[in-house]
Amino acid sequence: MLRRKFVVWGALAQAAVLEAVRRKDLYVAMILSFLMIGMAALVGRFGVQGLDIFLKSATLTVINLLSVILTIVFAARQMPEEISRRTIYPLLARPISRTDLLIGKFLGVFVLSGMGLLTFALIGWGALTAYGLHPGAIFWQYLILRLFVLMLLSAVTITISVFLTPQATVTITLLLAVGSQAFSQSTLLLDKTSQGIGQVLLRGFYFLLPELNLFDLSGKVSHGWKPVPVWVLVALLGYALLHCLVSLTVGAMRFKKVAL
Amino acid sequence: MRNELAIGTLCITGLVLAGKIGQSVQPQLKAPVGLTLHQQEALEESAVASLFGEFRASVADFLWLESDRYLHFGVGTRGRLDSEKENKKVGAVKGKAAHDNHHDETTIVPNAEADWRGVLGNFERQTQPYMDMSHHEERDAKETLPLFRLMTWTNPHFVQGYVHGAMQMARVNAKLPEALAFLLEGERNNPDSLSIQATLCELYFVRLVKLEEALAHGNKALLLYSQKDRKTLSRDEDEDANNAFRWLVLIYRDLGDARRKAGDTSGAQQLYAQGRRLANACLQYYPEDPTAITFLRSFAGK
Repeated sequence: MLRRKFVVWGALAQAAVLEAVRRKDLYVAMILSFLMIGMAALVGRFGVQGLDIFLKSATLTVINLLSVILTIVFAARQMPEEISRRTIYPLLARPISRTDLLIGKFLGVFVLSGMGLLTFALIGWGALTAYGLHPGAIFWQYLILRLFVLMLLSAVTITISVFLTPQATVTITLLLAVGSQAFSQSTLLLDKTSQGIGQVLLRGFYFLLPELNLFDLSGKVSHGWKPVPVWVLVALLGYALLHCLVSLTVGAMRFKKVAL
Repeated sequence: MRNELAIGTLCITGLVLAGKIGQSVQPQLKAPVGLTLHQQEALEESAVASLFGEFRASVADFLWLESDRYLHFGVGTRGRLDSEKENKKVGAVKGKAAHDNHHDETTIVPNAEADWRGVLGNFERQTQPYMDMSHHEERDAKETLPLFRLMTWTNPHFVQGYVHGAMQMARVNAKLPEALAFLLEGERNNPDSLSIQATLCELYFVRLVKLEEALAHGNKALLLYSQKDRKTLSRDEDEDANNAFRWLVLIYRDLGDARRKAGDTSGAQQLYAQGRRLANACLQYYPEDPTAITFLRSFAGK
């Protein structure tokens, strides 16, 4: 039974990946990343030596930003497009449940975003190496954590796309992704000055929303810190999986009730 | 329709909750002063600056914040809130050397004792640049010099970049000429900057021991100070004006001492009198200034 499920999810994921490759979405992202990393490298060419940390930081920011945008844009349109193009009917006519479709799409988006991340990381790593900069062993941990966060974002975006239009989904998930650090820092600050119900609400939101900045090692990579203990990676994988599970469960429950 | 109603209800609930949170929050930090009057004028007068000025100013501000992180190995710091100043659990940023001390600052990622987030806080302390800053050492200031170069290149009206960059350079003896050239470039780009004049005065007086040049820049700083409305000065500019008074008082003291040693007592007295005049002027604006008070006690009526 479970094996059959994996086959179904795998097939759906593969279809999602092939569709994105056919649309040449990854090529657009690659061109963008070359341009942006080229700009960062240009700064070094202007004779301002010793900007190692700045260049590393800029490169990692580009990798983070582009991989997040790519994931959100991929994920936000998966379900609405299947519905609007009516390709969902032949899919559901097969022995595939709506939950299977959602999970298959999620896996497809995760694989795609992983491919995007690895492409950007390869370009970034190449650019840094070309300038004689070495990100160190922690760079690989950074990549692993970015994969975890893209998995989480894929699940959250697909779930939101079941509730809202693709445009609204992209806006909300981008805000969540880009504003995560700002939200975390402002919650910490506001908590010091709030009390009673305000404080309870703030802390509640903090624990409820996924803390995406926990998955960002770019600060440590840029400043040459040592790798983090393995238990941190394992624990963060658990945290990401928990959020994925909750998110996909909510999405599946909602999707079952959507009138097609 | 039901969806729209649900989303509308959610938005209203969110607004109510935000209002509730807002009511229970007391602002404890003042926003930093942005562009100075001169910077604003420069932006208004140049077409290119009008187009890109705001962006360049933002880049310079970003690099400015980054320079602080560079010194602390990426660890972000922020001002302490009023409620945190008395709380011993909140980690302080204190250095082994005097120049590493940052009064009233703490780390952005809180220390374990002051953190209510439990395991999530532990994760953040592991994944973000974080360390106990109570006895920290700063990274070699040389590391930040390219950043100061870049921020003034991006925004030539970024006075803090010139002032702090030059002072960081001046900490290394071999870079003193470079520090002076950097500040003089800042003076050319910002001829009415009180801070740059005061820093030039300090550099000439303390590091290069060229009293005449120091005197000229100190006097220019005070002239600029007299032309400005004190209420519009930033905290940095106010401190620099105070420093200009102090350096000038000390310069007149040293010049007077030199005359006295050379046997010119009346010339020395004239210079001490100049120092007293400046010390009294300083006390008008900064009544508790220790340098002015000490000078007046030591050289009263001599």
